[in-house]
Amino acid sequence: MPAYRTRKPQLRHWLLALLAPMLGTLVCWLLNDWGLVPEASLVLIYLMVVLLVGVSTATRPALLSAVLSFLAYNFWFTEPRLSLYMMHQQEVMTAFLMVLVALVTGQLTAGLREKVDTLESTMRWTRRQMSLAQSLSSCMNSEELLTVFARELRVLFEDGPVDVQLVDGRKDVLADCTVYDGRELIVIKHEHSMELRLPAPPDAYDRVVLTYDERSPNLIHAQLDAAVELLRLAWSRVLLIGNLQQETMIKEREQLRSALLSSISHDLRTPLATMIGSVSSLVELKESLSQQQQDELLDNTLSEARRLDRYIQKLLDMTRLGQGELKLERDWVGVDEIVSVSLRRLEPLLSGQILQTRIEPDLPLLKVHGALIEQAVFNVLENALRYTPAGEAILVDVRQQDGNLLMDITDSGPGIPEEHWAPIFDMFYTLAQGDHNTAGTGLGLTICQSILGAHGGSATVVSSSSEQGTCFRLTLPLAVNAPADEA
Amino acid sequence: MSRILVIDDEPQIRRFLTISLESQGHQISEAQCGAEGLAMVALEQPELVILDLGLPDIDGQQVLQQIREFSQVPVIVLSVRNHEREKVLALDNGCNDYVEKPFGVKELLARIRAVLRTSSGKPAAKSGYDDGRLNIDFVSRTVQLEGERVRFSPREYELLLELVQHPGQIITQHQLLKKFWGEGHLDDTHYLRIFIRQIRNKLGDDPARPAYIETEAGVGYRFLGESLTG
Repeated sequence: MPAYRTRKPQLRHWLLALLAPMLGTLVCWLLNDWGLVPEASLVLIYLMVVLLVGVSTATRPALLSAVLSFLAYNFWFTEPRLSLYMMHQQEVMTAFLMVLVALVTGQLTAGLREKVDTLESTMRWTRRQMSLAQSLSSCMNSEELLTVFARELRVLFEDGPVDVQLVDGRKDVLADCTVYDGRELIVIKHEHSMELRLPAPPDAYDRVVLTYDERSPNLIHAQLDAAVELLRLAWSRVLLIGNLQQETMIKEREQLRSALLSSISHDLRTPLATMIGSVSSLVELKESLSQQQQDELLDNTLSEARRLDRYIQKLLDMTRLGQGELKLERDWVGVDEIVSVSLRRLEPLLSGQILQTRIEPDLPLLKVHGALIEQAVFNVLENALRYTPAGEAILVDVRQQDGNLLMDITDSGPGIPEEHWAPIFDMFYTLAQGDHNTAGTGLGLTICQSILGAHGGSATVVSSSSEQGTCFRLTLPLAVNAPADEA
Repeated sequence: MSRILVIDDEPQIRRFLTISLESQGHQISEAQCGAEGLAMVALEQPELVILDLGLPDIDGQQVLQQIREFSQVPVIVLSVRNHEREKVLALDNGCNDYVEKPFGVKELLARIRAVLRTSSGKPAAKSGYDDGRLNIDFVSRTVQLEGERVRFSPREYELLLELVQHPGQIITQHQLLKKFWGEGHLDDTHYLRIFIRQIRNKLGDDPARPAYIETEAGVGYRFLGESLTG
C-alpha cells in the first residue's frame, strides 16, 4: 500500500546535506592533524557522513552530500592537496563508492520512511474508522446514519481527495434516481463517484454521493470500501433493532389484548354474578325471604346493573377514542360549568365523602369538547372517590398558570407510591391486584389522559400539598384569543 | 344449620350470599380480604368456607393453601376465573368444590348441601348406594343395575367407589390418577378416560347426558347420585 503523500526533501534536508560534509571535513582535519587516523582511512569518515545524511534525509540530499564529501576529501586529503585533481584510479573508485553508498542508504531510508508513513496513515485510518464505527453505532435511523456518515467522511478526507455530498430523495443528482423502497444499503458505482442509498422517508436524506478522481491512489478506494462496509453493518444493526422493536410491540399488543379480554370478562362478570345471584335468590327462595331482604336483593341488582352500564359506556368510549373516531367538537365552555356538571354526576356515588371546590375567579373560557372534558374530570373524581373514606374530603382546585389551566383533584386516600405515578394511566392498570371493589376498571384514567391529550393537555400525578392523599393534575392549554366571558 | 364464612371482596356479592344463605337457616360471617378470612377461619372455626379467588391482599389460591395448613374445613371456591387450570389448581390445593361466577343460587345451594353432607357424615359408615335403579353394596362389593348383577374389575370398582363416596363433589383427574396409578402417571389422563368410559358403559350412562358420572372437562369427574344408604 503506497502512501498517497510521498515525502519531498525539505529545506532542512538540503542544509544538512551541505553542512554535514563540512563538519566531516573539520573532524577529518583535526584527526589528521593530531595524527590519530591514517590519511587513507579518512575516507571512512566521509563515508559515515554520507551514510548519516542518507539515513536522516532522502536520496537526493544524500547524493549531494556524497558529491560534496568526495570533493572535500579530494581537495584536502589526496595528493595533490588543495586541488581537485585526481591522481589515482583509486580516487575515482572512492568517488564512485561514495555515490553508491549515498544512493543505497537514500533508497533504504526512503523505503523505511514510506513504511513508517504507511503505518502512521494506517493507524490514523484505524482510529478514524473506529470513530466512524462509534458514531454510526449511536444512530437510530437511516437519515441519522447518512448524516453522521457524511460528516465523518468529510473529516476523514479533509484534504479533499473525495467530495462528500448528502442528498435527499427529492433531488435527482444522478440520472438513474428513483425512489428507493428496499431495505438494504445500495451501493452504485459510477465512473468518478459512488452513491450510497438507504431507505428513508420522503423529504429525508436518503443517499450520500461520494465524488473522487478515478486515478486516486488505491488506498482511498480501499478506505472508501471499508467505510461503506461500516455503514452497511450499522444499517443492518438499525434494521435489527427495528425488528426487535416491532416484535416487542407485537408482544405488547398481544399482552394488551389478553389483558383486555380478561379484564372485560372479569368486569362484566362480577356485576353479573351479583345480579344473577340476587335475582335467582329472589326467584328460588322468595318464600323464605322477608320483604326487606327482597328489597335489598332488588336494590343490589339495580346498583350492579348501573355499574355494568357505566363500565360498558367506558369501554365504548375507550374504543372510540382509541380508534380516533371521536372527533373533537370544540366550543367555548366555562371551567366552572364543567366542574359543576361533573360534581353533579358524582353526587349519587358519594357515601359520606365531602366535595370541596376552589375555582379561581375570572378564568378564561376553554375551547374544548365540553362533554369529553367533563368525562375526563368525572373519571378522575370517581377514582378519587374510590380511595377516599367517608367523612374525608376531595378537593378540586382550579387555577391559571403560565397560559395553562390547572385542575388539581386531591383525594384523602392512602396515596400512591411515586413509582406508580406514570403507569397508573396505562390501560387496565389498577393498584390492587385482586378482583376489584375499591380498584376500578383500570380504564377511567386512561380515558382521561386520552381526552386531555387530544386537547393538547395532559393528566399527571403530582405530589400532594397535604401529607396524605393523591393529587391528580389535569392541564389544558388556554386559548390565547378567548372571547370575553359572555355571561 | 351450619356456620358459613364468606370471603369475598365484592360487598354486593357478600350481601346477596348472606341474604340467601341466611334464608336457608345458615349462620353467616363475612370477611373482605384474605388475611381477615384466614383469621376468621382460625377463630370462628366455621363449618364451611366460601372463598373468592380474586382478593385484594392475598390471592385466593394462597389463602386456600394456608387454610389447608391448619384446617380441614370444607371450602367452596367462587371465581370469575373460568380457566380449567385455575379450577384444577384450586381443587389440588384442597378445595372441595368450585363454582364459577356468575352462578344461580340454586346451584350454589346444591353444592353447599353436597359438601356439607360429605363432611358431616362419615362416608366409611355408609354401607351402600341405592337409588332404585342402581344398587352398590359397599360391604359385598357388588353392583346391581335394575336388579341385575354387573361385573366390575377391581380397579373399575375402586374408581366408581371413590366417586360414589363423594357424591356431588368434583374429584380431579390428578387425585384419581395419584390414588390409583401413582405419582408417575399424573399426566396419563387417557387411562381415566378409558376406565370411566367402561364404567359408564356398564352403568348404562350416556356421557352426553349423564345420570351418574359427570365430566368436568379438563378438571375431573363428579358423581351425581345422592342416595347413599346408611
